[in-house]
Amino acid sequence: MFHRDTLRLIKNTFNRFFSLVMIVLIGVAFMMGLLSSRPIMEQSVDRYYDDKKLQDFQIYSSYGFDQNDINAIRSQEYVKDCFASKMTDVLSRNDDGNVQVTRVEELSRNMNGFQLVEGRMPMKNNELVIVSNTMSEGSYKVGGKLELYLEDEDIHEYLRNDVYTIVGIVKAPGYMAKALGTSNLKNMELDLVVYVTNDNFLADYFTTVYFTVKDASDMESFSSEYKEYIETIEEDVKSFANRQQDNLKETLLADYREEISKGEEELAEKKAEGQAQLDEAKQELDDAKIQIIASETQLETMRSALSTAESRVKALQRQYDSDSESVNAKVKVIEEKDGKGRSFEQIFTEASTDYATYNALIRMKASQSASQYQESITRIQNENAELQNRLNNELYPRRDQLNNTIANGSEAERESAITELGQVNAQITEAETQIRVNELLIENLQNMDEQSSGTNIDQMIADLDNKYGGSIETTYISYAAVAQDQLRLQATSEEIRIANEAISRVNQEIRNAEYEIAAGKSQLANGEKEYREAVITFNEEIEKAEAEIRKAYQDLEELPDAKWIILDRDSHYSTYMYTNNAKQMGAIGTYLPILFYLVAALVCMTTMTRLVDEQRGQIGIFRALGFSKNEIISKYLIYAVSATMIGSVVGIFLGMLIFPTVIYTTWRLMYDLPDMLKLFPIENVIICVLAFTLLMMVVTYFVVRKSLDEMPSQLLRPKAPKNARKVFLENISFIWKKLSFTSKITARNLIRYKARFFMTVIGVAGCTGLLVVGWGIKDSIADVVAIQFGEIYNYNYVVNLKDDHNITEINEVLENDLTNEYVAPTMTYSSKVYLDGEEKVLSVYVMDARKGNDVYNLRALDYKTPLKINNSGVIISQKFANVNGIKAGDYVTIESKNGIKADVRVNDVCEMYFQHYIYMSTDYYDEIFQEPVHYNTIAVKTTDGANLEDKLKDLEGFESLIDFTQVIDQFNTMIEALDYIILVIIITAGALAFVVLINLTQVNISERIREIATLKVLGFRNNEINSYIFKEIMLLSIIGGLVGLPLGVVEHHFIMNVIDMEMIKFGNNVKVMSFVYAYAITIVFTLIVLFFTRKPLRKIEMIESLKSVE
Amino acid sequence: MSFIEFKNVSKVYQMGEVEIRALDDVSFSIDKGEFVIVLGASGAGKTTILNILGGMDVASGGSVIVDGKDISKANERELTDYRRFDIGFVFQFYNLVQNLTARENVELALQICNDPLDSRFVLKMVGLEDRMDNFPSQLSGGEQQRVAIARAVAKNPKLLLCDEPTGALDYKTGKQVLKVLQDMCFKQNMTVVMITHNGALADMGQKIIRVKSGNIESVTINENPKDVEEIEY
Repeated sequence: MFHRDTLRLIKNTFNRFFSLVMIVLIGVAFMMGLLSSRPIMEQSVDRYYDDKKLQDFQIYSSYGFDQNDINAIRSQEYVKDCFASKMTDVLSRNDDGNVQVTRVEELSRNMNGFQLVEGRMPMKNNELVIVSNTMSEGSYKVGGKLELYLEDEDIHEYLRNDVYTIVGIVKAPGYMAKALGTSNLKNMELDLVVYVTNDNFLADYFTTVYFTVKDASDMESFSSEYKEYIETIEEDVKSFANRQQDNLKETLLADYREEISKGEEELAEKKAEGQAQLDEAKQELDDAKIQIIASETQLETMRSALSTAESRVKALQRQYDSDSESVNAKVKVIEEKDGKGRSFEQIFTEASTDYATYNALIRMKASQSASQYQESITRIQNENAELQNRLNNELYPRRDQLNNTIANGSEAERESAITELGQVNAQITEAETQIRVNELLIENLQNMDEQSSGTNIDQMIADLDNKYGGSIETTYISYAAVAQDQLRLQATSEEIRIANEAISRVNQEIRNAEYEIAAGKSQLANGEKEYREAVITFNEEIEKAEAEIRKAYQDLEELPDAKWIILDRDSHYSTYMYTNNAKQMGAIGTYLPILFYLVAALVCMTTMTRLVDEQRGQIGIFRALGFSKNEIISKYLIYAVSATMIGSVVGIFLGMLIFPTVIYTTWRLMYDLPDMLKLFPIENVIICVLAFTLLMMVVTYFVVRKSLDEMPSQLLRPKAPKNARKVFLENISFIWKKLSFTSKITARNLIRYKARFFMTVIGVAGCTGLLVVGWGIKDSIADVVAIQFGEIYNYNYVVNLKDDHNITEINEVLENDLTNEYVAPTMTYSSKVYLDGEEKVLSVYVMDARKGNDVYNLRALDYKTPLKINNSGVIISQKFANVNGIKAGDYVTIESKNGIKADVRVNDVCEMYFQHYIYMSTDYYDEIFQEPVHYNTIAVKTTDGANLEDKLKDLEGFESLIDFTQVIDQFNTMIEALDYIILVIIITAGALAFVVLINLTQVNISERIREIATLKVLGFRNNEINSYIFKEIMLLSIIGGLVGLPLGVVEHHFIMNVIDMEMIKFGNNVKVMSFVYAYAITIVFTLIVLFFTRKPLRKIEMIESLKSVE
Repeated sequence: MSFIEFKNVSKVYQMGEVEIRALDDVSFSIDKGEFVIVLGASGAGKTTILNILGGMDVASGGSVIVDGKDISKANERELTDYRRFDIGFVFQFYNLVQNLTARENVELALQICNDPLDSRFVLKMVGLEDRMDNFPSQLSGGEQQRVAIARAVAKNPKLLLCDEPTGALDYKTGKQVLKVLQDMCFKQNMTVVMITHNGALADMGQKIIRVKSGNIESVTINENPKDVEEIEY
């Protein structure tokens, strides 16, 4: 009977019952969903770890492991599976030329498995698979090639191949986080992880050992049980490791020292050798220079000799011309006088013969005897032989000799030779003429001998004198003088010819010499350039080698004990981060549902109070009939509990359906997670159901109990209405008087029904707060991109360089292009930062202070005050400074590009969202590290990014171009995924607002049915009646919304702190528009509720006003 | 023509299969300024008459003419206006708004009509000028009912309808309330229709309409209505 009454009660007050169900449903769904997110996150990944047999421990040793070490590890009793890997870090270049720091891992047969996403596993030693979350989209695909290389070393010392085919894409449990941590290559961030078959590795030692521990996979990887177990094992591993490594240290120290001294020797040798080579080269260059100067002097001499020779030739030519004119005149006179048309030579020859004959005749006239004739003939014949002899033996050879001298001899020799040749030629002519005359004489003498007459001789002499105009002797002598002149002329001409030849030869020689000098000079220039380059290279090498040695000394001082670094799962970046994130999710799951819990309590209180008020008379009757208080209370408890149960069951399923999926999907933005495990954490079910059931029961108990404390007789009478109270506003009568009665009622009601006030305000505030959180999360993350790339970075492209050898040209090309606003060459490198007992890594950017301030708008932490890079210290990024407690004015120890440690002064801490940076001026770097800066990138702010690559790609030293606009686009795509979360939040917030507001309107209407009916009877119109109810709800919504805005900010801070990540500083700002959205949507929710309230209000019958008060 | 004409009015409620005739061909008339008592036992149909006369319900048949207007043909909006401007209603359980003071309850009604009386004046008229700023919970039943009357009267209605106004009151306070009503009629010349099951009150009316089983049993004119003071019940 009693229970039927309860059922009927539910039926009659279904709306109220339903609102109880709904608030429990929403609260439980939210609580259950959020609370379960942590176990789901943890267990999904734990299952994944177990499935793939992820190592429990990884051991590194700076000195590698040999087979003995491996065997020793394997023989430990707690080791289940063990895998030694020769994993190594290299650089890779894909088909697009994209260079990434790449870890090459070794495929294992028995552990550290993975999930194949695409393609197949590698089978040959030139195939590899890529871990999917480590690769940037699109750049790596199955079938593509990947070239592996090292900058300073030959890759073949480590790996069998250098070009690999990508055959598959995998997910690896060890590399879940998108951020992978640091590689072993000069602290560079690790970008990419690939797996290759184990026959690829050529190193003779192992770099790392993985092993799993017996029984550990039965435990949940994130549980304290697992952690405790692993810690005990870790102690064992450590003591075992200590034994292994004790011996090693001394050996290593010795090796290390030897290596350093060897390095130093090598350096000294290299330095000396290099210097010697350079000196030798320098000497050669100097010699060449002197040679050129000598050649030039000689050339000058040659040139002056040439001009002397030329002027002499001119003089000779003038003399020749005048001489030949006079001689030719004489010759002409002689020839004309002869009148027989004979040439002077013919005339002179005949004259010579005649003159010889004349002389012979004169001699003969003196002797006059036949015997004398014979004697004369013999004498003349002897004379001829003698002449002939002289010609043959003396004159001809001398002539040839002279000719030869003129042709080949030196200047001086030629001069005298030419003179002598003239004389020799004259002697030859004379001798030859004498021989012919003598022959003629002999003939005549023989004739005369026969005639033997003396008269004939005189006759003959006279004839000859007559023939030559009186005296043959005179004529002959004049002829001979002319002939002599002619010979002299001939000699002069010869001299001119020879001199001309000599001049042209000298000219040729001058040209040759000039050419040789020019060639020598250009060779010298090349030589000098080579020499300068060699000096630069030499200095660079020495500088690097010296830095290495300095570093080696530093290292030696701090030589780590030959330590095995033992890493459990939590020591791994991705697991560590994930563990924290899961914990933080747990925190959110614990704290955020408190709001819902509170609202549920208030809803329950309001509803039950109203219910009991309505049931007052009935309670009185039951009490009068003799039912005990407990029996009556139990009726209402059953009512509340059944609502709670229904709400819980539906809420648990809805919550589990929606929240874990949404949360898990969101974490997938940051981790490469396995498929979500569909868990149903029964302990959370119990927690949620118990929490809400207890809450509802306690609230109900106290509400009902309060009514029951009255005597049954009192219960049968109407409850004395709660006293209305004046509100403070009434004191300001000029305002109060102007208020309509609905406003007055509203004002008084707000004070009068505190539970309802708080329920509504908190509920609506919760709704607004959630909406603020939803948009705020998006703002915070979107802000990061907008501020970092749009405000702090004042550049949109980065040019990567192979080296800085051609940087001047590339820089000029960029500077001269007017579409580029700013160009800043920058040296970037990763540096360790040495903190108390800890080493962390950040990026160091070194640039010219002025240019740096062009491309960075660094700001202080008030997000306003501009910070400038200067020469007195460095600027460090916010997140790093905060996490490690670094303030302006502190000194931190960092490394130079070559690994030299030094303390730098922190001038300022700047606003920064992604990753950790130190900004430093080139001068400061120089001062601190005493090392020159070698720029390896150029930041460019340009308005013409599309053509930048074309302008640069053919320049030497250009490596690649990064377009920041694309980076922004990628990130924005990622952020769009957050819209899903916002949708869920809107739905949840809406549900919360609806339940609270509907509950409020229901309670208000049911409580005021009589008043409303009365007002209707009094002739109030529908809209007047609506406003009677609506004003209050609207006002509560407005207040709730206003309270919700700051509440949302607080919640937002809380959540942003929870999803805080090591490398990213999320924005804390919620945009004004987000507040506007949150508030507007809250008001819209209220208006929707009010809209649907109009109908029940209209349906209230006026007859209600006539009924008696219960 | 009378101020109010009830002509052949019938009212049928459909309760599932059953048809209940609450009024069956009821006719009567009321003159302006008349104090009318509608008398009948529970379920006789007097509340239905009140509802129809008060514009809270419409007749199924016949016509109801008030001051020349036929309200039986009026739509919802016209009925609201009728209630708003023409009717003053006094409930058995006063139906004051708990959240408003006595004066504010009066002003609540004033706010909606065209030619209201001053709230202070009306409250003085019902003898409550000292309790104007009290909330209903601070007033006795009689005082509350007088506030309710003030609220109804302040609208300056054509017709004051009272539904068992003394039903929840003790004898003494009931008499005070009745006195106020009678004064309204006789002194202020307001037309008052009062519904009651208490036959003893019949004498204070000028016209007594007796209702029984949905029919008019009798309409009696009382030439000399008794003063409330003289009535014993």
